[in-house]
Amino acid sequence: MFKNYFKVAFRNLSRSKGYTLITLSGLAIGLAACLLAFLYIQDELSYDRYNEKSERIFRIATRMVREGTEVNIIGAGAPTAKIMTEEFPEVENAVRFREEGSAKIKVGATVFREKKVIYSDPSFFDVFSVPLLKGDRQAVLTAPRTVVLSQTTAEKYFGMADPVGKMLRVDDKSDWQVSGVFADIPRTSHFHFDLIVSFSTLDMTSDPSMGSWMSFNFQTYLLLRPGASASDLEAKLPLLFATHLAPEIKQFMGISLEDFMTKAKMKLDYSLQPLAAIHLHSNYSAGEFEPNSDIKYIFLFSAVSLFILILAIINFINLSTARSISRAKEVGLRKVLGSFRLDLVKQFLTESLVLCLMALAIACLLIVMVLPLFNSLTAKELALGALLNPLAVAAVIVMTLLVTIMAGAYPAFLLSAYRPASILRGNAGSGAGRGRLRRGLVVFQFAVSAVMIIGTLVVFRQLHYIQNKKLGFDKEQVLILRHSRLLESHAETLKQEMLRSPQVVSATLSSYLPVPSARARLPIARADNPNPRQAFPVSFWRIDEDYIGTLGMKIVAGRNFSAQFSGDAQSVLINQAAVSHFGLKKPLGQTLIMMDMQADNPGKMVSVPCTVIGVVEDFHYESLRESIAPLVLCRGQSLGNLVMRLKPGNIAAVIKTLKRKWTALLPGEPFEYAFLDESFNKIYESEMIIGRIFAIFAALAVFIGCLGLLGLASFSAAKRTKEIGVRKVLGATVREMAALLIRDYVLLIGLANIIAWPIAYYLMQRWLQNFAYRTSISIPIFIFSGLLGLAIALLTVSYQAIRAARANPVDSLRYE
Amino acid sequence: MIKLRGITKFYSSGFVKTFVLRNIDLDVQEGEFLTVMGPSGAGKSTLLYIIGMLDDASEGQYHFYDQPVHSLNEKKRTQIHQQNIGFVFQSYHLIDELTVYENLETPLLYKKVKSDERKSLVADSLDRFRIVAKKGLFPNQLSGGQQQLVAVARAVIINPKLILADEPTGNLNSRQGEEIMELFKKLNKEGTTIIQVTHSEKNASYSDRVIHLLDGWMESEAKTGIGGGQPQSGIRKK
Repeated sequence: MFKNYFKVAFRNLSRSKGYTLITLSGLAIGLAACLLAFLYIQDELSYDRYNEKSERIFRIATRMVREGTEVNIIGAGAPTAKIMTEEFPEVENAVRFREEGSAKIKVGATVFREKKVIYSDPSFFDVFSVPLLKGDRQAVLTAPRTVVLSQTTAEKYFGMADPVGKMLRVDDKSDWQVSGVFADIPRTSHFHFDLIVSFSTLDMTSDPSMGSWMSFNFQTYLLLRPGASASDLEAKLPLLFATHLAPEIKQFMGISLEDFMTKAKMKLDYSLQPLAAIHLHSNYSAGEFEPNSDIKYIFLFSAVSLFILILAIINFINLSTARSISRAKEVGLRKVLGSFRLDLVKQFLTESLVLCLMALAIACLLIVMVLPLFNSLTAKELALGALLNPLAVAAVIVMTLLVTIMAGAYPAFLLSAYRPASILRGNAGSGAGRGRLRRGLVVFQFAVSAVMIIGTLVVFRQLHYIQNKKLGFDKEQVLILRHSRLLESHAETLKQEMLRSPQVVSATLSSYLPVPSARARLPIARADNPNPRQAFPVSFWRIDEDYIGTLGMKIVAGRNFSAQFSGDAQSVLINQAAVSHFGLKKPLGQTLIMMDMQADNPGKMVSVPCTVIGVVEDFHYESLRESIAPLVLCRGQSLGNLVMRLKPGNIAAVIKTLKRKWTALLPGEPFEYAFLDESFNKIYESEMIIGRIFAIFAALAVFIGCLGLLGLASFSAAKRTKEIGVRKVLGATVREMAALLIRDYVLLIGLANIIAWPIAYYLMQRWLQNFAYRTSISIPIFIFSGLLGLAIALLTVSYQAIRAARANPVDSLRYE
Repeated sequence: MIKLRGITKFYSSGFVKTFVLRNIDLDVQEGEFLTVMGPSGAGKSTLLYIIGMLDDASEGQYHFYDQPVHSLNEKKRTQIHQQNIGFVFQSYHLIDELTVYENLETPLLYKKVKSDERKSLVADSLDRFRIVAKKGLFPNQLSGGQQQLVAVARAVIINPKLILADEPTGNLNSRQGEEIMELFKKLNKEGTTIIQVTHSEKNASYSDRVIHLLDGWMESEAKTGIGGGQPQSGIRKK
């Protein structure tokens, strides 16, 4: 029986090629989109699951509220890990990390700059399932100045030779001994380290923060005992502060923990993050090893791909019901030959299954074709092979069957309900009611497309807004040399040398840039604040007198720093946001108190009075998602980057000169440079990806919608042949006839847009809330998207309509 | 075999009822060859469809053997029809997507006949109707007469007790028509009950009995000659 069904299905599909092509390509695209989303989501959800104990691993996050401002930090005080293992029975083990940042590693004569260097405890290998390939599991990471290398790093340093026991020269001042090699950390991990250095290497005695509960610089992971409840443990965490933080406060400040908290208007608590939730649910501002993803993208991506599939299913339903007349005779005959209704339902479902399976095969081909592009877009390494696990196979089967049933059920029940008596005598149902359903589904399709078009337009408009927003500085033609700190006293020399090049307009040295770079905050208060130590920490940058000019910022009151004023060491520039933050009516000449660390004793704070000599116009130094915060600029040495403003022209030559000088000064040190505008654009990378995904999916939605329209238009033109003939006999012109045929679609698409507009407005308004500085959603966007949808749809149907309208009436009447 | 009592069929559109059949009483015995005649729109085909259980009567009772068809559900009716009734149409009504072989096979598939038996039944049928050479062809590759031959073969393959034929020769030339009628005659002799609808006096002459319909009313009955030893000159209405 099924063999027969399959045979008939294939013959039917190959007989009506146009219909098959439309339905098949739509379904294939829809399934491909869903499979791609599935691959993506499966990958995102697999983060950190390589850890066998992932269910039991939790990370400590610290929340600090100070004068109403909440700061979230991934990290805990250094003693936390040890104390918790000792005092809480739930905790089986714990591991701390301390980021080193970058280090210069010399192996023999070769120099490497390593960025993924971390200090950690020996328990690292007990908590995380990272295999130790070489070295003694019991001994690694215990002795000071020992290091374990990732496999790739070990091969990079030593090739095939055994690295254990070899020495690394670090930053030209100390030596680390390699004590082991670990397998590279999987891509689906929220951290990736190349060098893990023993925690005992850190100097715990000279830096007081190393033993303090108040410095949250140590990412701390707990391994709970099997069966222990994380929420119970979380409830006990305040005890830690009472028993361990309170004595420390008492010792240093002479007051109780409660008094300290009240005085500083401060709140402090620890919470636990499940390891597997970090990748998608943790977006803390400080202390993340790497930028994480966001569950929002998963929702967005699955919703959008599901909609594409639904649009394709609608095409299937619409076209198969529209075509039902042509299948009616077969249905009637089969009933005459003794078919039960259920047999027919089965037959039509088989047909839709055949179509779905073909679509699935094409979808797999499509995925293989687009995966490289998709991977480069999302920075992933997905492969179709990832679907070869029981869960994914089951999901694909369920999805295919679901699509089969969703697409096939309605046509199957509709067609199988035909009464043979009426069909075989040639008056098949007029289907007025079905026409309504079909029109409703078309409206739905185009409403979805319109929402996606508007979404795309708004995302790109916001990106355009960001690109062209007056930032308060000039991001074009600015070259940044990284790591100029390593030049030490030669940095200034290099700056002067580069200034001699005719292409370099001006140059400045600073670690602080209005793109991601070094950041610092200090408690800064007005002179009349009695308690400056507890003042709100304000961003604080050290710059030189060329900074403002080189970056194209504007002084709106007072003056810039100048080499001619010797007193400028105690002067500051502030931005307009700082003027209002401090409530200064006449900022020039006012004094601010900064709480700075003592140069020779970083543990001790001293108050430094400074005079405001100028006000800088607000410039966006953080992402446009945030409002401009107060900023204090002081004159001081900060050598992190050498920033040069260039004349347009041969920039490559400037870079070449710079590289030559750099290599002469620091042989073997990697040379790294960037352009300010590119660094700026990187901040909005995730928005760019959303924009591109939206654009691709909107195009797909419109494409599928138009395929459906094309099919419907040809059927309705065929169905109305007689009406057209009669009207033409009565004197209608081709143009009137075409207009008659097209009018319906214009109305449908107009209705779809009207439904789509408020939905799109609501959704995109919510998305724009992410930005403190945002474009408006203006009426032209809606009108444009409406016209675009209409134009594409009309292009699609007008060919059919005009052809039908031009047909010779005699032919169409003879059709009867 | 068939007992119709007070069969009425009408279509309602708005407040107007259009009657197709009015109060038909009819008995058909097993082994009879009955002809239904009458002008276009008289309700002949509707009567045939009702007997074939492809359509419902609006009023009245229909017993097939002892089964009250009028009160059975669709599934049960399909079962009776599938086991007992073969249909032949004026425009052949073969399934265009299926080959001759598959067209013959389809009713057996619905009857859930086992594969081996099915093959031998189809093979027998192809032999019997001398269409073995055509078995791989599609309906549109056959002439009208050949198509109707296949249609009859298909109606007969389930070995039905009753064959319903709706103007079976209407689209055929006279030679082809005769062949088909001879075939019916032969089947009738072998014991199959046949009810045919026709405009043709010649075709009607193959049957035992003729009934006439006009505007939904059953006008008269006549016994015709060839079979059953009845006199050939019956009451015949022109």
